[in-house]
Amino acid sequence: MDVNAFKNISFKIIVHNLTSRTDSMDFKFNTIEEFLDGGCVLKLPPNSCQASHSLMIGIFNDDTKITYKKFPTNGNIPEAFMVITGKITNLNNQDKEYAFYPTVVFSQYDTNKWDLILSKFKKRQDDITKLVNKIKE
Amino acid sequence: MFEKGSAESKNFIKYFGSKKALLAASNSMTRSNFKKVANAAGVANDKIFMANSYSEAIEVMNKQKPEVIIAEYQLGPNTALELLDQHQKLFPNRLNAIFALISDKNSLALSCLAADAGVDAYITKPYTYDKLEKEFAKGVMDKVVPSDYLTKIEEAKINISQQNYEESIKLLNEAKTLGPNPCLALYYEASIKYKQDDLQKAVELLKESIFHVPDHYKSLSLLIDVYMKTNMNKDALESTQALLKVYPPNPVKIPLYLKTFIMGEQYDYILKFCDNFGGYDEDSPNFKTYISAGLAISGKYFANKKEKERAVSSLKKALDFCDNRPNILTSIAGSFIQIDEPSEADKVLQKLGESATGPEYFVLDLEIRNKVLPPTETFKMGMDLLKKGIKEAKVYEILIFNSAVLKRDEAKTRELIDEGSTAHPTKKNDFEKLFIDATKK
Repeated sequence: MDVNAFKNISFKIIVHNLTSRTDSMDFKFNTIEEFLDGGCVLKLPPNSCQASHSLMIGIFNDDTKITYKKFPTNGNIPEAFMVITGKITNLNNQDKEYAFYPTVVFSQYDTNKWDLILSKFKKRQDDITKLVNKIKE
Repeated sequence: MFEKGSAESKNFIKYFGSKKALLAASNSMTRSNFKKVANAAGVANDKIFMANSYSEAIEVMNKQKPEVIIAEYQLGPNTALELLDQHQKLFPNRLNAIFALISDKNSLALSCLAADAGVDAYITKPYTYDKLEKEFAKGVMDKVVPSDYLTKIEEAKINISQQNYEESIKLLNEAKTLGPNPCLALYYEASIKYKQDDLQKAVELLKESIFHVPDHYKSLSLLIDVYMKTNMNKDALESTQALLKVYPPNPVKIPLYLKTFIMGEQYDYILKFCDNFGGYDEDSPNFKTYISAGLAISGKYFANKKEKERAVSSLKKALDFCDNRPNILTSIAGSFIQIDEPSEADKVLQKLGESATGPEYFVLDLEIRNKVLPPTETFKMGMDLLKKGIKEAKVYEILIFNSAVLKRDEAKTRELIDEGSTAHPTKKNDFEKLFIDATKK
């Protein structure tokens, strides 16, 4: 019996908008929608950013119990898995009542740690595909 | 998706070119990615329809009858699996239909549920667009270029849905010689026998299937159903254990798995199962209830066996998961009484709140008081219940026992025995024995 069968792989995210000096601190609202080469598409609360704004993104392991009221603007977050700085190159706000979807190109980040995140999700997808195919047989 | 002009590209255009696609997701960003995938697969722009909610998706599906659906798992309060169910009814021939699911939930248990329900691809978010295309292509490939084996199986499945069993079996027998293994053909033949109530033959076919592939998911799953139907509890348990050794538990089948553990008297396994999975309830709305019921039954079992420590542990866990459901609470309280823990039982009964109205509640309350109050008070409570018309056997047991202990006039106690025996004829000897035992005290 796989004891982790019901566990989802995920990370928690907080965001500081370096341009507007506003924070988006609610884990429930902030997610990574899509991985890009050297960047990602985020899902953030409406009106939390604009195209060309710069963001600082704190990524935490899913089991973190840490909560911040304000983003530590010096970027020093020892509890975070990694902190990324990037710039919004495109903003999808078609669902502006619910969420904004900024495309963020990273400028400062630990590529090894980012690759670890990518490989974790890739491995889970591969495991799922294997499982789905096995059940189809 | 594939290089233009390549054999794969031609196959995809041939398959998807004439098909309509429904793309269902709550946000435009995701729908736009789905559209790129559908286009890349070969679906023409004018054959693509969008929906941003479950109800809209159902409306579009019924109106446009799209053979292809790419949907986000969570569509408001509904899930895309409900959409899949409708799609399967609309297109019973699944060789001509595609259903791909995109989800931000990536647990293996949920993907097992989706695969069991019949999705072609399960793609998790976040993805790279490249990965989205690749996973979609991988998931649908066996339909774009179907093997002779799969074609026969699908033909047989259509015949099964139309109850043309003879024709189905003919097709399945042909399929058996075409595949890398005959498991699917054997499984579908067994499913026909199961529907026809020829359970012995169904078991034979399924055993043959798992002889070829010992962990064949569909065959093991059906074996559990067949064994449960024939009360072959040990075999059902073995099949469940074989299944769960290889596959994550399908959340909607948890009641069935728990039932096999209970019937197979694997109460420790229930505890282990609940310890591992009890904290996750999002993929199955009644998950906690099933877990709680399983633990309550385990607690009762341990209580019967006078294994107090394990009983207490199971019952307390059951309590954590039961969401104050009255039937589970009363079962837990009953078991606490059985292991002589009246104060725990009392705490459980308090949780019933406004539901504490039925005879079952009053009897349990009497049983608790019987353990903690002097016999005179319990006797009075019991008599009050009789006056209210609550005449359960347990009430008579408590009254007869206390009447004797209090050394009331024997004729009066005899009256209770007679009255109780009239209401519960099968209990007459028990009442008599109780009276004799109590007079010795």
